[in-house]
Amino acid sequence: MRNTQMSKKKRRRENMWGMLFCLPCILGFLFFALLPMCTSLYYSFTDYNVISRCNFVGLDNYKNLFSGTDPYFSKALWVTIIYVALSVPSSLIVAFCIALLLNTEVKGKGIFRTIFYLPSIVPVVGMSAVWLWIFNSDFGLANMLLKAAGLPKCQWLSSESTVIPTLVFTNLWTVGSTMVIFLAGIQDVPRQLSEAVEIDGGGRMAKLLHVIIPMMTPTIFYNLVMGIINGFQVFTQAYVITQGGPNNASLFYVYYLYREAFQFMRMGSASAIAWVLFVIIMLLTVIMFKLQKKWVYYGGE
Amino acid sequence: MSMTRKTKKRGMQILVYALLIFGSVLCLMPLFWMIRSSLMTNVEIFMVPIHWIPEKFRWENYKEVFTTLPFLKYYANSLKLVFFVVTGAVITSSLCAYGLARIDWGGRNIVFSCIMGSMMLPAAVTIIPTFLMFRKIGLTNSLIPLIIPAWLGGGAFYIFLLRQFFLSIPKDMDEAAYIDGANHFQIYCRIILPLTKPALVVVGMFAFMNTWNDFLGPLIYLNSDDKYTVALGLQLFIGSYRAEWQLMMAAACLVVIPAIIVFMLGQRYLIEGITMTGVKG
Amino acid sequence: MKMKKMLSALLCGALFAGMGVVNISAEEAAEPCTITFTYWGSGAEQAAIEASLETFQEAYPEIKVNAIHIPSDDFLTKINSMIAAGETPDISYSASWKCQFGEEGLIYNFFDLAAEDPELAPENYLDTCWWNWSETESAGPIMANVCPSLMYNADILGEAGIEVPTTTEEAWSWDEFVEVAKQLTLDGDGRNAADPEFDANNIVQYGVMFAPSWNTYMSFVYSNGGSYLSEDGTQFGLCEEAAAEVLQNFADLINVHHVAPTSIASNSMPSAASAIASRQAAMYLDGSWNHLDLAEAGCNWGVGVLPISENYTTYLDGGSLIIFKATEHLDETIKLYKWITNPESSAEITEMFRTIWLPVHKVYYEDPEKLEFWASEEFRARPEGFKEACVDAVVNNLTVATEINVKNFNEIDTLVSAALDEVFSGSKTALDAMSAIKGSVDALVEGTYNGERA
Repeated sequence: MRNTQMSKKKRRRENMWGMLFCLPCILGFLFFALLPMCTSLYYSFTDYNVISRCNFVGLDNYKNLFSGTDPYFSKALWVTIIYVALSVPSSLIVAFCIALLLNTEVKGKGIFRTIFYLPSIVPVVGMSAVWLWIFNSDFGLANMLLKAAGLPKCQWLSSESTVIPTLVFTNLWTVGSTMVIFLAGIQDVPRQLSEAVEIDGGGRMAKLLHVIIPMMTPTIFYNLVMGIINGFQVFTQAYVITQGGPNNASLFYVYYLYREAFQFMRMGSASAIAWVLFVIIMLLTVIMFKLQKKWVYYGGE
Repeated sequence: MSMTRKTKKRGMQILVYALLIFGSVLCLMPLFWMIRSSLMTNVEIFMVPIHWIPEKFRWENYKEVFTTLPFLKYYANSLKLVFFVVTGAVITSSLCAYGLARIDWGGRNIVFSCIMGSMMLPAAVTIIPTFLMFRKIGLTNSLIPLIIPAWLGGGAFYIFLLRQFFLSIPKDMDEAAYIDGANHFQIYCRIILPLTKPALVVVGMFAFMNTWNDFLGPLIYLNSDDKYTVALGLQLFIGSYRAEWQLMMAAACLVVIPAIIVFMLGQRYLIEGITMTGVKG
Repeated sequence: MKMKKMLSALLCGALFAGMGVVNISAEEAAEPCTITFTYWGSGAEQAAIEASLETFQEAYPEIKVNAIHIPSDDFLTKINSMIAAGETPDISYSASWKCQFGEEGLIYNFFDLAAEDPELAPENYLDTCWWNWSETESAGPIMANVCPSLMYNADILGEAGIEVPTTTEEAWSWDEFVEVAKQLTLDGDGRNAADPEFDANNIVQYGVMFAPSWNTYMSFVYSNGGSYLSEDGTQFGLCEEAAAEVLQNFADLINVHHVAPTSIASNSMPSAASAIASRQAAMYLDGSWNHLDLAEAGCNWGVGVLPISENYTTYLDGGSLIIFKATEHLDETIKLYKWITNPESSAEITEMFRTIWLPVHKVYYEDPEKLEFWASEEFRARPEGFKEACVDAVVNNLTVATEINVKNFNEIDTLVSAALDEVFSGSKTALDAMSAIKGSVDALVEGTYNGERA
């Protein structure tokens, strides 16, 4: 009897503390996510154009997207999916490899880490301009170097087939921030575990496969989820570098959304486009969270 | 036996260095390109064959950046913004992450799912409604709309990141403190925060970078150019009739330097934090 | 404890800083008559506008101008959010979206304003320069004209012994133009594109570069008897033979003749001034707004007429200043309107009309003294032949610019530009690519503003 009373009291106190600690983010969620989200859901059923018009049009906006009346929707979605499928795994692998290299006993570790991290702090606007020249197929640095090495020219950003891989490559240049998270994770792997593998006579590979990677799964999971979410929302590259071209081959979804909203002033249909993206990302994330139980290992639990 | 092992190790080390140096060159090349372009005339930038080093170092480009636009003012605005955003994000996101990872309370799962959900919300959806909201309370053309979200959780990314870190700290430490009569705030301050300094530094650095480089947010909220941030100022160099690349690159360099300094400072802290963290997992 | 103190200190700090910012904006609002003016432009243009506004405020001390410079890429975004926020500017630069604003009833009909102010009488302005959204409603005349222009490096053409014609009578035909471009395209070993040994993969100097936009190709389309929309204005027109032929000609410069660069996306190509000054291109087809930069690049350059030998047709294009109905200071705003559009209002504005802009008032073309005022070939951005190639050839052969006349142009052009990428890359013929998008474009076609073919 006393016990249940205690736990009831305790539970109430815990609820109070939890609420208190989470208050900022609850408010943040209400005002910067839920409220705008509902507003935009409402707009997605209207022909709202920011300035004058706001009529209810039912499901028309969604119908236009899925019936193919909108000439860009399926292209934008497809292009973005390809980008995500290429860029997320490649950047995770590269970031992880760099983190592993930096975790070995090398001199000047700090300098290397700084160098690898540096690109991700460069303002995107400025960097995009640099990429434009480097990958210009006529005057760019990349083709100059290829020519000097006796290799054939590449069209880089100006061909429909190479524009996405080129953008994926420029994205690799900024893996520094992911790498830092990996590195922090790897350095958190308890010494005893690695030492245990060494005592058992295991080599680097064994350490990597049986200790480092399993211990790193929460971090990998985090970076995977974030990579996919951010990958679907890639915008600046398309905005500054390619403007969606050539022939819409880099018409990333959010750039398409931005264009619909701010260039053509169709906030209603832009909201519908946003909601489709939201649902896609939501589904993917739910699936990933369902699957994580099979491979992610949390030490604390 | 030990000889072969040594040479194998030596070979491995050379390989590691080779890879690291190759990667470093790839990383630094575009930056070098940016700096070299910032010291040229707009014509020399596009010269064929490529001029790797400017014929004449045009430091005037930098002077011109400061004279064409009030860059010092932009610096001041950006620094002010960054200061409030970073402190806000670190404090409130760690509080929330603690609430989600360390307190077993009724609303925890709901709140966590909501935050995960908001992380998946494309920012483009919320731009206009959020803007209208701030307009209603008369806060546009100030830095406040850019600061407030940082003090309300700082963004789902940071909360999620910190929660993952907090979860990997064994529970027995704070349970011991709890039995000794400490409350959650004390546990948060005295046990969890010191243990997670590296994670906090990472969050702080991310918040710094995002704010320092953010361009769409300031663009929407700031009207008069005496309130502009550096990223917005950078964009101003791209006029509608011509692109003054050499000035843009000079301005980009000026924008990058503070970021590099912060990283240098933060990095030392990061290493220290990681070594101090002790047992994990 | 320490942490608590720090926390509260930070919170207080944030609060005070916040209050400070609010106070400042409250003070600004107290000014008696402030008009907000939003505009875009390069550094040079921005400096000129700002300096000129200083002079304006000295001339009219009762008016304070709050000038907001917005990068052109984000201009509409910004204006939209300002309108949505109830902070509509009084007067603004504007692009083709202004007609939509007109239809929404957001801006003044210029004809209404002109009816009350003889200084703004429509007959003072060139006939083809009107941004109208219906026959009786107008967003006003272009404030600062620009025309399609053939620019070249005079040293390169001089060395090759080629003279660029400056009158429409002497204008090159397209084939002649291609021949010249071939002679001027050089590979790494100094061979030109007419040489059978020419190495198209190693070009160091291109005969011609062109901006792949409507502003470049539509003059040629019109002159060739083609148009943007079909005869009755209800369908897409670029898929018709006469128009597609022109587009194919441009693509052939790249893929057949190898005299133009392959990556022609506007943001990856050097600007006219850079390309000409650094000898990457001998000739450049783009708008006349490049003249100032060319003058400043310090190279020896010139202008010629477009290579159109028959039925020379071209246009003047440019933004206009729109006055929002939300303004509470209409008279003062009109004063500012006149100030900026008057080439003689201040030294800074005059300089703009002598370097980048072409006037829109008829008198500056009809009165030789007035013409000399802005187009004298003494000025640094007005090279020899300018008056023939960029004034006479233009004003005597004017039609309404495509952008101004075609309804829904912004959206149609987005589709067309994307499809043209395929044409310029050589993966499709112009006819095929244009026919392929006909269905999508037709759905967007709403005719023209003046009811005539465009």
